[in-house]
Formats: sequence, C-alpha cells, structure tokens
Amino acid sequence: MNRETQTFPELPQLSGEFPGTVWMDVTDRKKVVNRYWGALRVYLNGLLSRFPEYRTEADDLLQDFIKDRILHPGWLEKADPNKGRFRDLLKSSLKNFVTGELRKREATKRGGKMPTIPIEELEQEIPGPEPVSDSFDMAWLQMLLSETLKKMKEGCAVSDTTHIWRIFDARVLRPALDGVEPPAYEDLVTNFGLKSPAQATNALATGKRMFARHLRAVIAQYENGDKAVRAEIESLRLFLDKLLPDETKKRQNQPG
Amino acid sequence: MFMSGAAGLARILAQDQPQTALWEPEEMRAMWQHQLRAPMEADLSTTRSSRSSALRNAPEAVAFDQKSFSELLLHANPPLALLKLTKDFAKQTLKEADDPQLKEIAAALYYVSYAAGMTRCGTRLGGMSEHDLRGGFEWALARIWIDEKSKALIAEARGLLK
Repeated sequence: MNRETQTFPELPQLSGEFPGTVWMDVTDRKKVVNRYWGALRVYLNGLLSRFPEYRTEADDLLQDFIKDRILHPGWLEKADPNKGRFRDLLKSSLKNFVTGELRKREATKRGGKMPTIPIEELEQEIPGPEPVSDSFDMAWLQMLLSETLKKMKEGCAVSDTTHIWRIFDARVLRPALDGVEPPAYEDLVTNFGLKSPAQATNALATGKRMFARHLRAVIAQYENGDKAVRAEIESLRLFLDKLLPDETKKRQNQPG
Repeated sequence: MFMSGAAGLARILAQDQPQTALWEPEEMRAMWQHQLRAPMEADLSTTRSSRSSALRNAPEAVAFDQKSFSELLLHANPPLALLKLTKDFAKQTLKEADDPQLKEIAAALYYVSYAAGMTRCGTRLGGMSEHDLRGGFEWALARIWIDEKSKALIAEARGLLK
C-alpha cells in the first residue's frame, strides 16, 4: 500500500492510487490534502447544510472530489501559486465540484432532463464564503497547529531539549488551549530549575523560535517560498482576528 | 489534537511574532529578584570579554565562586574583578539579548555593579561620562521593580558624582 494513502481516512478504495510523480512539491501537497482531509470534510458539511437530502452523501462527494480532482493526473501540477493560496484553491475547487455534482444529481432525479432547481439558484443557495468558509479555515488552522506542535515536540525529544517543550507547553500552550492561568515567573524558574533570568528567557525564547520554525516548515509543505509562507501566516492571523472580539484582540500580543 | 477557540489559537499563532513579549510587565520584580539570587557562575561563565578569563580566575574572585549576585553587590568589600566581570556580563546581555525585559534586567545589573564599584571599591568600572552615568542611575532609581537595597547603593553612588 502506498504509504501516503494509509492515513487517508475512510478511503480504502483509493489505496495505491496516488500517481507517481517526480515533483516533490506536488507530492507534498498530496500529503497535505491527505492530512487535512478533516478540514475538507468540515467544509463540505457546511456546504451541504442547506441541502439535507444530500447530507448523507458527504463522504461519497468528498471521495469523488479527491478521486476526480486531487488525484487526477496533472490537476495539482496545474495549480498556479501566483493565483492564490493552496488552501483557497482546495476550498473553491471543492465548492465548484459540489455545485456541479448537485446540479447533475438534481438533473438525474428528473430523468436526466431539466433540474427542478435552476442552476443559478442552486449556486446561490450554496452558502457564500461566510460562515461555511470559516469552518474550513478553522479546521485547517487547528490541524496546522496540531501538526506544528507535534513536530516541535518530536524535535525537542530528538535534540534532548524536552525541557524547552515543557516550558513552552506550561507557559504558552496550556493557558491558550485549556484556559488556565500561565505559571508565574517564580513558579516556572522553580519548577524547571532555571538558574537566572537569562537562562529562563533563553529557554522560552528558544521555544518560541522552534515553534516559528516548525510552523513555517509545515506551511512550506503546501506553499512555495518564504513570501508565500509569510502570506499564509498573515492570512490565518487576519482570519482569527476577524473572529475575535476587540477586547480579546488586545490580549493576543501579551506574554505567553 | 485539540479543538480550541479562536482566542486560544490566536495566542499560539502570535508566538510566531518576534514582538510577542515573553513575560508580563508585572514579572520584572520577580526577574530582578531572580537575578540577585542567581549563582554568579551561571551567568558569568557565559561572558566572552577579552579579560573575562583573567577576571574569573583572579584570587580574590575564587572565594566568591558559589555566591549570588546579591552577595557580591551588597558585600562591604566586594572583589573588584567580579564586579568588572558582572558589568561585562550585563553589557554583553544588553548588546545581544532580543528580549526587552531581559535587557532591562541587564541594564539594572550594569548600574548596580557600577555603583558598587564606586561606593565599595572607590573605582569606576568603565569609562562612562558623568552625564551618562547620572542618567543611568536616575533611570535605575525610577524602576519600581528594583529592590531598596540596590537603590540605596545607586543613590549613594549618584551622590559621588560631581
């Protein structure tokens, strides 16, 4: 079995169907689609939320999308990075695919003749960019950060710097994810045996740098070049900013 | 791995930004106290000035090997070599650290060691002008997170300026 397909959830019939390619960036993007399948599923659920009769077909639709688009030879190769972000390409492609599929199925229901719902109306009825698109971006971001933190933790274990991970986890991650108060400076230095402010600051700053490095590496699996990676981070930041109330925004740049 | 809300995710994503602060402003006092009780060896061993090796191995410094910065700075007769080394360490940190709060701690250490040199050893540790030194002492005296004993030392040194 192709190793790339092993983690592809609920798509056993597609095993081994990833076509071989010599383009490393394309292969990486296939891995990304593989990894971020959950985000596509969330987005599809949102797209189908206004069409209850098709909700049970979400898995079929997504599998068809993967098979007919993502895995279709040449499709990913044609993706032009200059025309936008890979994440947006996936999103718009899935939306267009679903629109087409629903149109076809409506037509089939009516004996292959005219759909009962005019095409334009159907397209309009698929909810616009908000908030369905937000659910995709949120799921994508969660998976992106999850992958980043997993790699950071593994990196710390390999380089024998697990204390860096533990300090970052205690001071930044637990408060952000669990809503707990971050440990006070005094507690942190006591718990981790940090001898001086220079040592404590270096440890936390190293964690921050490692996070930034891994985040960029994970994004670089689907966006090419530093500029595109920076743009993707900025785009995700703006996306979150849009969701936050003003009071929360003020607190985002506060200490971790 | 997690299904966190936008606020939590934004907080994590902000760690990618160099300007995101590491510590709370209210933690400066704790950082300074930590600096004072830190074993000198932990920090001074990282000093890379041309004279650092000689200063570290000076006979008068050896007895202070395991002591803290507080014990050095508030000592009635501190070894000049270690005061110089402390000043060099603070200067190096000021120059090289990225974190603005650590830089402030280093600046405070710089001026307290300078003050200790003037008041306890009758020597200026470097070539700072009266004007700059006065400005530095005033800056340190205005920091609410610096302890009273250190401030008393600085105030005493300020009194020695012309």
